[in-house]
Amino acid sequence: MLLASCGTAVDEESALGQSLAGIMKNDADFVPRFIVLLQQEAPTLQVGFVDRETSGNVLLERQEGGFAYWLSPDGAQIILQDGMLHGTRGLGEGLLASELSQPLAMVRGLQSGWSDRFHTYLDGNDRAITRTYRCRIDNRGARELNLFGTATDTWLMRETCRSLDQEFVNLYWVAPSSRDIIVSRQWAGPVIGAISTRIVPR
Amino acid sequence: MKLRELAVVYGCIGMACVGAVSAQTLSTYGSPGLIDMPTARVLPDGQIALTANAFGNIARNTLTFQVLPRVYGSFRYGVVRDFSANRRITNVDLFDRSFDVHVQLAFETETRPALALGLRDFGGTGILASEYLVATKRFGDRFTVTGGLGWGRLAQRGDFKNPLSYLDEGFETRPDTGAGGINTTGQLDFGAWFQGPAAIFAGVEYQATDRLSFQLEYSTDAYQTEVDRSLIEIDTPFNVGLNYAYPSGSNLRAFIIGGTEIGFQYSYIFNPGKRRSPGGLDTAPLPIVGRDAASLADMQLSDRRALTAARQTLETLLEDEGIVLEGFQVEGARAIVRIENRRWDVEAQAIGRTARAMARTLPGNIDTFVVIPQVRGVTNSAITLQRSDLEELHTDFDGAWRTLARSRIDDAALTDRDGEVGGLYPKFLYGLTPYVTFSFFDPDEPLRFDAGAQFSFAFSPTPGLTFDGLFRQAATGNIADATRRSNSVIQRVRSDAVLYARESEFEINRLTAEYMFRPGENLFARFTAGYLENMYAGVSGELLWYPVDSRLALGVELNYAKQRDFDMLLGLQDYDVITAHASAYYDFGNGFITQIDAGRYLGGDWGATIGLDREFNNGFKIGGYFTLTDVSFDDFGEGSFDKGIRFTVPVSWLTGKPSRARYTQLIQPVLRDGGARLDVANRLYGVTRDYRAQELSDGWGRFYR
Repeated sequence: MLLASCGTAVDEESALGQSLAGIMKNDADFVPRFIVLLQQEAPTLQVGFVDRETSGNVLLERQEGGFAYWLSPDGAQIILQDGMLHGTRGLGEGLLASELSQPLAMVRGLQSGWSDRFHTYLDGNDRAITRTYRCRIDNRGARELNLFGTATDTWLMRETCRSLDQEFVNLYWVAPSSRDIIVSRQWAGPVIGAISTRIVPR
Repeated sequence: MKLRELAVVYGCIGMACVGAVSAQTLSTYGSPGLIDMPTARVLPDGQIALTANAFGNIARNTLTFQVLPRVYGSFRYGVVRDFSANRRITNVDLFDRSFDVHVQLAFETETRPALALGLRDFGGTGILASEYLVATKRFGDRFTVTGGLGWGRLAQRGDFKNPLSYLDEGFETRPDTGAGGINTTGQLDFGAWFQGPAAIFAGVEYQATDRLSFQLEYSTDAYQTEVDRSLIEIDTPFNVGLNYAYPSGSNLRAFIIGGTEIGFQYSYIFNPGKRRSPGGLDTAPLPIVGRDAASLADMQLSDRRALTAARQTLETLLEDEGIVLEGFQVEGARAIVRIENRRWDVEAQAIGRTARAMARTLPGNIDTFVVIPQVRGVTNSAITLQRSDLEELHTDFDGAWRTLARSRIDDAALTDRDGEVGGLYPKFLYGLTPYVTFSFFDPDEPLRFDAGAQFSFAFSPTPGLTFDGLFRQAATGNIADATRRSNSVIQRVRSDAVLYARESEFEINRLTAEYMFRPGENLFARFTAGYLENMYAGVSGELLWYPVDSRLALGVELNYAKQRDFDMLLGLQDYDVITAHASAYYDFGNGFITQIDAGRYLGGDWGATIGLDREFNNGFKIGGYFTLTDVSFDDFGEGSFDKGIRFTVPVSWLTGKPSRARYTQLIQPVLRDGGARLDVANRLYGVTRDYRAQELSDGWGRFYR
């Protein structure tokens, strides 16, 4: 419900919004931090805004434990915790951080059941507001994905979450052996809606 | 009532609609109502409504602000064309400034209507003066019924003996408040409120769809004055209207008053507590890394060369964040940086970015970070952070508040200047920008402006000492075209503004030497000398006591000012004056800030100014003030005493990008000579408040942003 109704709000000027227009367009718009990553041939993640039907690439700026900081050409960030969306910076959506220990364990464990997650958002008045979601996680079974031309075996995990006034569905395609989330579609928040991620093989 | 949030800005109506009730209909008075009649409704807390309408010879422009959940206030600038057409004067139009206040006495419940009491035009010329007690109740999903009792203008039709006169006979007749002419305006007409005959008005609203509604009212406002002057035709007591509400907050209205007069209205309702972009579009901060991954992880900061390397790395990283490193020193396991924040309007975010740069750079044995923000080279507060807390909490979902709880904020008055970054002084900043200034409410031309180019510079040879200049050259405008001259009977300390605009070409707006310093713990001081402002030169001294974690600040100020020549160059006129004020500032902690200044004003008059502002956490501010001095209402002239409303809009609120720039505007209904205060730059409370504990804590949600 929310996914369908919310999502026209990504700002044309937002960092990722611009970057998605095409990485090759013009180096001059890139922040220096991104150019360094480009030169270092840093790992690449393909991301998309589901509702805007746009996509582009971000580069890995830092891996600290389970946390991966993916930087866009003009300096926005998507923070993933073991593949699960933990935070955003510079996208207009103020997802400061999330508490994901329960859903992470279940999704990577390929288990079905109930779990809680917490998202902390910056609101328009600069307050950090934490929201609690109750989620149902289901193992939807094996799926074969065509990933950049390669047939890849995955398990599809579905997470359906609700709070008092919000509702969203996240999908994760998990590699059976490594239990890595290699493809996903995850809800970031009311402003930008869902983000898709896909690891680009080196 | 989220329908009316800035949906154009957020575009996210889908979610915002959850829990929405219906759109708010605004009357021709620009506040919740039917057509001319008020309802007992209010706007959602904190919202602002801007309304413009026109019908017949009448036009009204209103700003309504929901000050408290139950209280709104309105400021209105109305025009009645040809009001004095029968008189042989050059300007026959009536320009009328008025203030309203509305208090909701009871919320609407399932069984009981909302109840409200209101005063319209309680201090103006009285042409709209009226009072009401009104009840509003919704029936079902679509019908809302309103009924009320009106006095004054709201009792021009179907009136009866004032029920309050059974309590006190004094209520039976309404004194003629307009009798004193224009010079009595501004005085609160306490004597007339709820006096004279009363009448009953009523109305109904039908909500046809989420966006479209229809209104029908029985009006007790017969437009007597306007009908007498043949400005409007009223054939029936019934008015009808429709309202189309856009989710963006825009409302379009059409209505018919008195059966003949068709009117149109546009209003825009928005919530200042919502930035255009809640999370901001500023670039992502540097990730906080483990200390073994810091760029100087294995270095010992024991010798000069290592310190220099660390300082240079920090300097570069901070420069990317719009932060100037002004001092760097290491004491054992503590690293202390002094910074100037040139980019971030939320100061806690600047502290967060600084801490990230330190975590990214400094050797592993450094485990305490102290960040000291400076303004004009003067230390303010010292924020102490444990590196291990940053490492632990930067990915915590409640990280911002947990970090705040584990940090310390102290006063930094007694910090020595060890580790001053070399080559920082002298500092020279300058800029060439366009400018616009406005002049409001001249009856010949209600909105005048000047626009042109301005050059400003700040030269700082040592910390705290700054030479400032601001020069303007108008390119276009019409402020100088004003033909009205001051008729003030007291010393003309402000009312000659037109002469300044007229006689000046190239303007020296400010040319000063200023010294700011910290005389002691929790104390700030300032001395300024030179051409202090547009109309005065002189010297100014100020002392402010502001404990770092206090909501209260106290200050004293002493000035000697001499009036400048109208050409705004270097010459001075004969008039000089000593002015002095004692000030108290209090932050209520719930978004309200008050300031009281008592002392001697530019005209030599003694009195006090009371100001109250509502400041949203994102920096959007709206408020007002009034000044009462020993200048009598008669001597003051039109308006009776000085008052005004003011607002500040941070540029980041509009753009979503960080900036310390903000747009501030003061609107005074009349500019006269009583209660006028010297306009010296960089008054200490404004300069220091952002980095005291209360404001830093309020912005802490953006610490990890």
